Amino acid sequence: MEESSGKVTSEACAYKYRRLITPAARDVREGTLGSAVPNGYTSVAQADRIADALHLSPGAHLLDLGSGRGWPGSRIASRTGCDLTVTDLPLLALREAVGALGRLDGAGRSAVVCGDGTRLPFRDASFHAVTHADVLC
Amino acid sequence: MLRECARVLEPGGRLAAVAIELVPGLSESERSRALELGPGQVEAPGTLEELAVEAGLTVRATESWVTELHRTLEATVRALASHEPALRADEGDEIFEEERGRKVSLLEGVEAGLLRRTLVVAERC
Repeated sequence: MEESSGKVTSEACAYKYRRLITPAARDVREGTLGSAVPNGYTSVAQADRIADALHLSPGAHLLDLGSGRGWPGSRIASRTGCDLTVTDLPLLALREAVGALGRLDGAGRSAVVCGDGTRLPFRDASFHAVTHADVLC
Repeated sequence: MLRECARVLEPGGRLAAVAIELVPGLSESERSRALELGPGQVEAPGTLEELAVEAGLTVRATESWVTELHRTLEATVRALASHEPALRADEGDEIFEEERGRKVSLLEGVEAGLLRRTLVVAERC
């Protein structure tokens, strides 16, 4: 996996994925958002609300921008059966996203792309839907 | 970034964007306080809904998710307190203090009515 742009920004964003990864930190996260949530403030119920709002179905293609470890895109893809591309800058988080997407049940095809949200490495009109949650939080 | 979202969406495609943002209509002093308490990206040139419209999208729905954010932050602060010894041992004092400070600040901003979390669903027509 190659980093397409923004090396400095990638490093600046990566700090949050190097911390709170110990068992005690996982206990904190599971106690507040649920064990399925690997990053961010979006709960499972909120990920399902996003899935419903996007009107996705098998064969549709979703981009999760600023996905970190692949959340909430992974949940949405499992729920709807759509194809999924996740993108973010920190390679540390994206490597974990590769593993998470490889374990998805019910989703279509998936891809992990390192890229800058202000210069997305995709052609015009590539996706049926886009989601992003608390990017740069 | 929303302009890029609009560009890569096919016609009729939908965007669901969620962000922590400033509550509209704050005084100058309230705005300064909100910027101190919130994460960096709250200093945006408009609300999420306004930015979606500026990006050429048509807003289909806007929902406040501030109640859920408040509940999550309260639970997180409680959990950080109950796990404090283990977190300090595993993560270190500096990281623990920083993480707790960020969550407490954000909670304060939400409780003061300065910060909110919003879902905007928009369509590329």
